Amino acid sequence: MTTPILSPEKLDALQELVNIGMGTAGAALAEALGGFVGLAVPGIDLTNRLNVAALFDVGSWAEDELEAVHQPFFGAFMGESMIVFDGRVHAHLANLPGYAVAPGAELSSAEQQEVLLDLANVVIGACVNGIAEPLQEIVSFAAPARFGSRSEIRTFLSRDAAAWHQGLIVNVDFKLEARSFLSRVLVFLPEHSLQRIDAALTRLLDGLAAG
Amino acid sequence: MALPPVEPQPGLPRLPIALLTILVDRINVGILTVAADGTVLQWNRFLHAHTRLSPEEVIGGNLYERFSALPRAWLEQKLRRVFLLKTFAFTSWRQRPYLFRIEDHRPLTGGSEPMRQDCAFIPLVHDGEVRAVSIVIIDVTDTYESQTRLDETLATLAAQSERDGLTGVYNRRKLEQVLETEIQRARRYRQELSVLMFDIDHFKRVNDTHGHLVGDEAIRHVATKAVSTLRATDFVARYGGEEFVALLPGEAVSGALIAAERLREAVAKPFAALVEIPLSITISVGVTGLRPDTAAAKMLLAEADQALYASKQAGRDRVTAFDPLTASAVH
Repeated sequence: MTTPILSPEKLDALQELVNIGMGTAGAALAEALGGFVGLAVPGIDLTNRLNVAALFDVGSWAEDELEAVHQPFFGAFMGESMIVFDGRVHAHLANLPGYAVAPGAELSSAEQQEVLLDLANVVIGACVNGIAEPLQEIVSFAAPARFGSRSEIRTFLSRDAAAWHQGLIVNVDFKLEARSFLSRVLVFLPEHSLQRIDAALTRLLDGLAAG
Repeated sequence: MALPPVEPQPGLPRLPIALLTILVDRINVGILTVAADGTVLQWNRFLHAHTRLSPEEVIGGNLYERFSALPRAWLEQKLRRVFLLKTFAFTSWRQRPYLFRIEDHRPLTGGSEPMRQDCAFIPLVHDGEVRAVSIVIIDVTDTYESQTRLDETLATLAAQSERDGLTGVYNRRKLEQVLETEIQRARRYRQELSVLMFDIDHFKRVNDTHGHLVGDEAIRHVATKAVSTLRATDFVARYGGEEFVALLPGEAVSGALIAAERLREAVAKPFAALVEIPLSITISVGVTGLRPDTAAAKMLLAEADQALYASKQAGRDRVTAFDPLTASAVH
């Protein structure tokens, strides 16, 4: 079975485009969430090279308290995205701007989950669009879902490389002004989506060369 | 309205927009579309039927004014994010039971609860701009109902799996779990923890004389007395055939001996048990307590068992404490 992996030139081009896309996504998120939003330079890796667990081995990631939401997307290319928060996110859910929560109010567990799922949806949506838009593609989303337990998250993240499908993982750190929780978005693009991305990159690069 | 027949077009066959509109109108999900300022642009038949408000009554008006029961601040912010980020948003019945309150519409099979709804907010992007947002509302009342039944069944099963079928007190498996956690708790908070082990004297004779049904009544009698004479915070389990264990958190052996004596006296009173004359049975009890040198839960049970054995040896119908100094039981 041949593996159509993006050429090094295409990977570089994709990295450049995604950098720009995440810049736009960060600005839109800042407006939507009402505050400075930091989106780090995204990392792009082929799954067979990337040790996903290692992304979560340092600092407060290494603690047991994690919260994670996953969400599939489809359309021009399809894949699945996942956002992982460290446990401190819970303390901030009751005072995120833009979530119509009265100051100092205690959130019920359902309200907490709703805010968490929507925050995850918004950040994932912006990041996936940050990949799709520079490629001039449009994607749709299915509903986000929360991982059932912390051990489920750990088990999932620490699967070895062989258990991951062939594909590409874009990972990007997200930070909300003055809020001390970490969050990291992983966007997984499986092999068959890479063909579509390869074609889009060819189109864009040819356009640049012609222009 | 007369529509042209669908004819194969040259090139890519396409559904005429007019037919697509019919699909959107007739599909069995709710679809409404709103502009950035909250003006309703579309209201399909599903919503018409369930809210009894026609498109004429809703379209062109402001969503929040037309439906004052909507959680306005929350919904405005949710829609604003969809417009800004050009991305989808969702709600689930698990956190928010419904967006529009719709009474149950199933006259045959329905219950009294309002329709549970999953919603998707879809940005309608054209030329790079979000022109409007469609809200797709899916009736998930069936899912809600089966999930509720499943939750109830699981709760019942979980309760049953830790209870003894005959007496309703906890079973041995649950006892073993609780004993471990009670030992940890007592150590953490430096509290006392006592254990009673007791069984029915000459139980075989009860069975042989009156039959197994009366034997079962005797077992139930002991369980009932244990639950009623011990404190609500004590834990009673059926350990084996006619053998029980009780955990008394916060109670030293001296107090546990008093509780055990009260239990012994309560059990000894005659009780009605399917036979013409009231039946009298007695129990023997062994008592021990957690000490700093207690190595394991098993050790506590073994000590209580040893003290119970001493009660039997000494003539039954009595309470004996385990003596850690001689590693034997004393009366």
